[in-house]
Amino acid sequence: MFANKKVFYNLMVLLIVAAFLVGCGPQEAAEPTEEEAPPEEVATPIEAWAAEVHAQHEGTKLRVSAATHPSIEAFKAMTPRFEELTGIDVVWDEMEEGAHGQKMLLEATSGTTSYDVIMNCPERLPNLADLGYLEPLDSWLNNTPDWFDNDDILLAYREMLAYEDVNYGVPFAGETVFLFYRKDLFDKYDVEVPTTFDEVMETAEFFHGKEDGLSGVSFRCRSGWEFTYEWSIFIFPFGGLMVDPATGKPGLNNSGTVDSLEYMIELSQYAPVGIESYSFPEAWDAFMQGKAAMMIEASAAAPEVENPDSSVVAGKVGYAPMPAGPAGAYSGVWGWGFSMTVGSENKDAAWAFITYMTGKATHQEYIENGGIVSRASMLSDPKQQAQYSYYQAILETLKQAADLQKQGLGVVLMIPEWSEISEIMGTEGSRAFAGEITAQEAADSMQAQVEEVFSR
Amino acid sequence: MPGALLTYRLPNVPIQDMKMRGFLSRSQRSKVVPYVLIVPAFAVVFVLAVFSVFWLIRMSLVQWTFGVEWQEAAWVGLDNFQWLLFSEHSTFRDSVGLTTVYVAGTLIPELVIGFGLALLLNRQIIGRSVYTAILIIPIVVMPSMVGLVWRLYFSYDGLVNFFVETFFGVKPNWYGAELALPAVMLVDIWEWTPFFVLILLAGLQALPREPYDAALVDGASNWQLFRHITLPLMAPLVLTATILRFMDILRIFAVIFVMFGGGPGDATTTLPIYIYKATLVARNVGRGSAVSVMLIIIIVTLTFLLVRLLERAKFEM
Repeated sequence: MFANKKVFYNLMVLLIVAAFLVGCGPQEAAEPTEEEAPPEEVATPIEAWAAEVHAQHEGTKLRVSAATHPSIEAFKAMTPRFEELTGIDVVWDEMEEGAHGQKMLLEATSGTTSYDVIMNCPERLPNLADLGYLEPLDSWLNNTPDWFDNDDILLAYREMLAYEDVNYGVPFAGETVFLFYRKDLFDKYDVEVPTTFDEVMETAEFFHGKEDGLSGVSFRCRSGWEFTYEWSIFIFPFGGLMVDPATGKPGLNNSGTVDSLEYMIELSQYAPVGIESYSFPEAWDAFMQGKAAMMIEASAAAPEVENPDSSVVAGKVGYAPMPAGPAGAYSGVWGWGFSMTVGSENKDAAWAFITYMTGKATHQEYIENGGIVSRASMLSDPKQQAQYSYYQAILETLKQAADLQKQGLGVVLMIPEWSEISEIMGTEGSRAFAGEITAQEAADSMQAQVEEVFSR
Repeated sequence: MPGALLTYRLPNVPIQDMKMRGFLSRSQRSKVVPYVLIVPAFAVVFVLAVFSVFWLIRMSLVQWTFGVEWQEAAWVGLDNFQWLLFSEHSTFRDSVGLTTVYVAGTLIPELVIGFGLALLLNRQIIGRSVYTAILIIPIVVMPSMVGLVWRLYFSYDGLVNFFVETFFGVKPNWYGAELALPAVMLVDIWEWTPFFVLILLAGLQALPREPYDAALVDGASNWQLFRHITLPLMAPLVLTATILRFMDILRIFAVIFVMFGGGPGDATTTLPIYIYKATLVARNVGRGSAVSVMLIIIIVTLTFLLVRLLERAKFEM
């Protein structure tokens, strides 16, 4: 390898001395410089791992099914490097989110396996797991390289891809709902950031119409799942329920649930005109175009809000965890992960793909390519917090979500009937929101319909 | 239609060259061969239409959630229909009402405006082909794009309100429960009036000249020409266009789905949206199929009546 022995010995001495320096010096000195350890000569742990994978699976073709999502864009940007390292050929099959969900259910119901890896979420997990479509991942998770670090993935996210105490997915993107507020306006009018729902109402009222074209608050509430998504954040702080964890029976007509719906309807009078049809892009857009002083929305909106190309309020926004209601302060978690199919003939290669894409060592590259954060180390890193001002609020809000999970509650019911229940809640709630029926009537109708679903 | 085959004869076809020679007499062959020839087409239609409708009916009689094994589907008889028609929580009846308003509120204006425009374009005007070409644009734009664009136009600070405010001094909330349905109906009228214009214009241009000349000699007024010559001669074409559009309107989905998704509340949940939500969102396949079966019955019955009307119009000509 070395034609000249002198060069070899010199390099050896240099490496030994460098090793001593590392041992003696402060931690910062550990960072390798180009002179000490040229990266192309010493294999990183990932490269060493990839070499083994390459030896076993070169030429394997992996089919991955995904819905359109920023994180998938990041993974696609990382794919060429993965293919180069492992020799595995990745074929992405990407489609719109609704179509993707239907396709996965169709595959599972008809017993076919066209994919090795699929993108999965808590709403779909119970059905896909019950149909025996998904590979249980617990034994696979016990067999990961050190640089993967499963424990570093936020617990709240990991739990959302577990069903009946079995892990079926490795999360790569998660979101929670928190309060966005205009720091500049709050400073200008010397207003405190609200910490209770009563204060949110007062603050929204204060800002509504305060400046030309300014509303108090923005959020999504289009009829259907989007209404359920938003409303589920309001239900628990008001002491409401979807299903009573003690009895397992629907609790949609209790007073807390009705209160939360009435609150949401009342709050909407300080929202932009037409909010009853607002989908999430419109809710985000109203805030990003400076038309709302606050927004109660998904943390996934934060990168957009801070993007000066699409948002006039970039750099002027503060983030706070969800305010408290009469029964406490709670939020929820949603998200996406990768699952393996039971019928895959390339499970080892599929697991190598999931390990590489969701590992701790590649998380920075994933974030830089536009992926949504899912690891505690990244969220709590002061350097990252300085760069991404919403990381701290995400961490605090996830604690609120964990408080809810501890009580056996959640914004998504992990049961196969959830999609039907979500649709019932989203339609009846929206009818009350549009003034067709009262909140109490909506709650009674939901309760009766969900009872009927449960009785089958 | 298979019935028409009974009187059909193949002209100048050398049937005697066919392999069946010897088994059947010439007249028998001429009766059998058409049926043999139509078998492939009939098989395709049977599999695609009849078989799928049969399955749809079967699925409407079970309780099955898409995403649960088919073996777990429970036979419930007519329960799905009963729930849809009589349950106090069912919004199916509202949906039928909304669909009726939608069909009447779009079909009639489209026909009237379309006929009017066709009559105008039938005169000797400069640039008729240019106008006709422009009128095609709304039809060829992808429906989901139409929905997206008009959703923006109808937003509170959008293009529609700019004109409404300029001319009438009010700024309505098209996203609200009261105006969401009129908004999607206006889009339908914008998109599909040209359909009537194109078909009826072609019909007007093909009308014979002689009846008009004779009537003019008798001193008929323009209204009399229209009422007693144009309208009767055009009646079959008007009815045909109406039947085609009627069947299409009852299936309208993409524009409403993109604009309002059936909301707010269920203000724009027409029958196709109802079917989509029940079957693919709530995944209650039995209930969704039951609505589909009822929609098919409605479409077939009303189309049958319209076709009868068409036959009569032709007969009277």
